[in-house]
Amino acid sequence: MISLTRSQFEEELEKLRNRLLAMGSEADRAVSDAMQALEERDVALAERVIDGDDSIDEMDLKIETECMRLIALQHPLARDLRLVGTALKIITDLERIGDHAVDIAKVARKLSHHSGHRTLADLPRMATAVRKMLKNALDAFVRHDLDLVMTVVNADDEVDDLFHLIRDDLHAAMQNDPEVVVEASYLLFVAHYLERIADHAVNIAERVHYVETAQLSQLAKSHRTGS
Amino acid sequence: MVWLALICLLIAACSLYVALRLRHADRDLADEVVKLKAANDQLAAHAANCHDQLRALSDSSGAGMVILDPKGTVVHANTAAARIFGKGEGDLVGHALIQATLSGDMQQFVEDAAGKGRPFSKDFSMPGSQTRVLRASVYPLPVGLSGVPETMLVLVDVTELHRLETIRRDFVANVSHELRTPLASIRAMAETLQEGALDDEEVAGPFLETIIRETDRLGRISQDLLILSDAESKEPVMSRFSLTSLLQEVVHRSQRHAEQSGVALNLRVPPDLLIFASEDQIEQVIVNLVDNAIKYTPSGGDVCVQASNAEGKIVVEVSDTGIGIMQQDLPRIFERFYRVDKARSRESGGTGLGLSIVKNIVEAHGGEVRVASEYNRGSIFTVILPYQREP
Repeated sequence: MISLTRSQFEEELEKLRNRLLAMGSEADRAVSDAMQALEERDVALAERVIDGDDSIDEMDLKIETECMRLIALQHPLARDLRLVGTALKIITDLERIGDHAVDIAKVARKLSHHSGHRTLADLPRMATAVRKMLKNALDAFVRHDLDLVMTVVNADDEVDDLFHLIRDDLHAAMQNDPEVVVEASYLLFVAHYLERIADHAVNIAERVHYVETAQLSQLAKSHRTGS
Repeated sequence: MVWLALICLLIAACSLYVALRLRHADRDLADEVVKLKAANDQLAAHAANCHDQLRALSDSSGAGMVILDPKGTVVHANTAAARIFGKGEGDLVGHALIQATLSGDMQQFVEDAAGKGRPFSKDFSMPGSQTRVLRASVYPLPVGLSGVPETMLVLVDVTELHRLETIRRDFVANVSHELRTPLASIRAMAETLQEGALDDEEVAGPFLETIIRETDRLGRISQDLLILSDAESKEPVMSRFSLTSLLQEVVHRSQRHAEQSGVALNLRVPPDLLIFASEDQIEQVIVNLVDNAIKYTPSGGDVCVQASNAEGKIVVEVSDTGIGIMQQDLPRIFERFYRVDKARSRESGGTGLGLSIVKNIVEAHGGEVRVASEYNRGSIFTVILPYQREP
């Protein structure tokens, strides 16, 4: 075992935190770019999001390897162990967020060739709310801020409400105008992907709660009820 | 014996001399230590003073200033930097920049730029927000606060600048597009007529009608641009007049348009509402809002104009049960030439300037205009004007 002094180990944990944040930033940018590609029918941007997913996957593997190395060599305990374990969980959520951004980019690419009417409903607003949840979850991780954790958890209910509103709007649009059915059905998928990204942000927030309190709990109502 | 006594005396004399010298040297050393301590205290006070001055200087700057050591750890952050990231100054120091910014892109940029020995600058959209843009400028410091090479990062929030730049770019693109479209149409029709269609009555008639219609559109655009320019640059010519009468007149004039569209137009206004404002400009505001409400309300719908005097303010509300505006479009509807539905707006003769005119006139009167809208359910435009007494 290559034993590190406490300060060296702290430095390693700090590096791990910074790498996680860099991965979170990549995932957020992927979501932002995918939505911009959808709004502006920008195929080149959609392609960049799809290609860029490899870099998020690579970060996922690097951080996982780093976590395993720390566990194997340093045998972290208590809060340190929770932090490393949580990092392993968070990278899975961030990797899935990257995958959903790719899904949205693929819809953007498909709809860019679609000549029908364009009705994005409130999807941009939902994307903004979801990105804010992700930002707050990562911020809570950095600040050890349990209030911010609850802000993320509560925002999930608002995003769910927005999802239902968009779903109803798109259903109404499909009923009123058969020409928008194909487009609206793809946009329903986008709403679903955004809703999943919000769930991953809540997962991250719940993990931050675990690091800080040592209590594993399902804080979000939707997670508790499984709805 | 005598020799021994002399040697002892000599040794005693030497010892005394050495002791005296040592005592003297000790005193000199003590004096030196006191002097050095005083100099050190002076230097420390000077350094603390410099540090305080540096902090005061950096805190007085509106721009965020962050200094990073060679490892990329924050060693100094001013008040503005802490404010930009919504954190305390202490939260930034001792951590990597990314823990404050959450931006991997900015972190990478600073790392890359720090090693290049010259300043670099770049704008970054911040995580979690589509609109917030920070301009990051990196300056290498060959000898920093700790005497080793450091990096200074200056951060300025350029969100508003970006928004205005987008509006300016859109305006230039839109105004040329708006003018080019009718001009191209007029030219094409005129060329066709010139090439012989003038003698063909079936072609010439509709073509001439199109030319007149497009010329009218150009006239309306230039008229609206002039109204907008006046509202922006000239002080409103204020007078006291009856808002009740003005609203009654506008609603009366719009009844025909409403009936043709199958829309019920109603007015609810107290009998004697007086206002001190520019009558022509307020009429323009009401005409634009009522015209829009009728235009975007399907047959069978309602448009209602209400006015009241509440809490020292004149409130005029134009509500409709029309197609509404999506949330994504709401922040931009007051921009020049911004149209939610471009084809529909042009078909109905709109110039795309109506709501810009409303906003500019109302703001020139010290008031504000608000909009609440639900897609497919309708919109409410509320004009709030301060109740101004005649000077």
